[in-house]
Amino acid sequence: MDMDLRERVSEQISNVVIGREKEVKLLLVSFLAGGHVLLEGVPGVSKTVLAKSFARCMGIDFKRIQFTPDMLPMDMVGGFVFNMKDRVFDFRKGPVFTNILLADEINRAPPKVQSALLEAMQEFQVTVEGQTETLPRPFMVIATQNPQEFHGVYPLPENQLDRFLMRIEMSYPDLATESALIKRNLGDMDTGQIKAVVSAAELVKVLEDVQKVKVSDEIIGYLATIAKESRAEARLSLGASPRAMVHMTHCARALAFLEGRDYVTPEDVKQVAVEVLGHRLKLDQSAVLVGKASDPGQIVREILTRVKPPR
Amino acid sequence: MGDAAVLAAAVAGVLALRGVRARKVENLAEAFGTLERSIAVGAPWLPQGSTWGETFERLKGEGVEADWSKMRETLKAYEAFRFGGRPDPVEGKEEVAGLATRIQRGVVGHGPKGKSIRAD
Repeated sequence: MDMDLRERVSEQISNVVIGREKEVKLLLVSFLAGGHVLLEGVPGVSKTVLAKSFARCMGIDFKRIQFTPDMLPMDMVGGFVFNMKDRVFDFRKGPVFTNILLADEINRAPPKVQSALLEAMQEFQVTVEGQTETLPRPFMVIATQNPQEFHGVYPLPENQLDRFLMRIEMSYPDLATESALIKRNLGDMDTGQIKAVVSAAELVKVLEDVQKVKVSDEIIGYLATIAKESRAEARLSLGASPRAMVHMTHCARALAFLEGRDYVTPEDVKQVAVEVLGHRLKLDQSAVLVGKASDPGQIVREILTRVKPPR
Repeated sequence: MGDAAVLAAAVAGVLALRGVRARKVENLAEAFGTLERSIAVGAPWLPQGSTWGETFERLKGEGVEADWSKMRETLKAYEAFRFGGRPDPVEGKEEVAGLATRIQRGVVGHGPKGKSIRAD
């Protein structure tokens, strides 16, 4: 398992997407940690294809919603439909009832839809007309957004961003990768050729094993110190929340598992820190105005060079 | 007269090196403790937030001589003890202690931008 699972997933996805090994690893970490992912990047960098390929690899149910400004919550969660035969209202499940939900262009959805998604992400349930329906598990939202869009979008509020375990930035590929990508995709970019690499029973076992990965008190102390440093950072108006640190612990655990270990090391924490914390930290506007801060991810990196890990 | 001065300097140098000769260590935890102290003296420019893995990479990049693949294996065993509750391993302690001594003696490698890995 572990390293092997990562290799199997990477191998399958590389049939369609090239040069995204790091993103694949982070997606897998998020999945094993039981969290949701925000894939951020300009159009055409394979966000959607990567998400679709990943879902296929895991061999579980997958649905996609293309978010639009005129969308209603019921388009996502479902609603009650009158059953003429029995003369009762039946609940018809929406696309959110799945294992992996691709929420494409999430920032195009109006706040009411985003709020409904928030409930699904946080509580693994949806409420329609007072009736609560539980979502299948595992449940993972892979949302995509284009950071360059300003028209017709509803930026995600801080509380919703905090629900995402990770934000993975997808930048343009390097020259060699881009050339290989063009060559490979002269034919069809078909995610249909991707096979499931894990069975349902194996998946259950893996998710159980991740929970057994040990996090020592020293690692917990290290995480708490990182959080404290982020809150004391003058260039930030909002530091890391306790939830963020819990999420970071889950991610470090999942990464340790994928590396074939049953204990977390400081290296695991550092490897996931930027993706887990970057989108939750808010830059201080005065620091932005004077050019002292522009990228929260860079501030996370600086904090990591200051905070002494347990050695 | 000149020869005597050179000889005296050479003797003083040898005595100084003997002062930081490899310490005998009981286990890996002690060896890494020694390495920690040596780095504080011999390579203070290393970022405080470095993990052992990152420290090894930097030292290797700076030309510090060691069997780095063996050091990696030793680190793995040490971290399994430190964070995974495994028994304290003894294998590899001499190599770690030896690296500590070399760093403290300042006879290996160079720091960034001409900063020598050398004890004052």
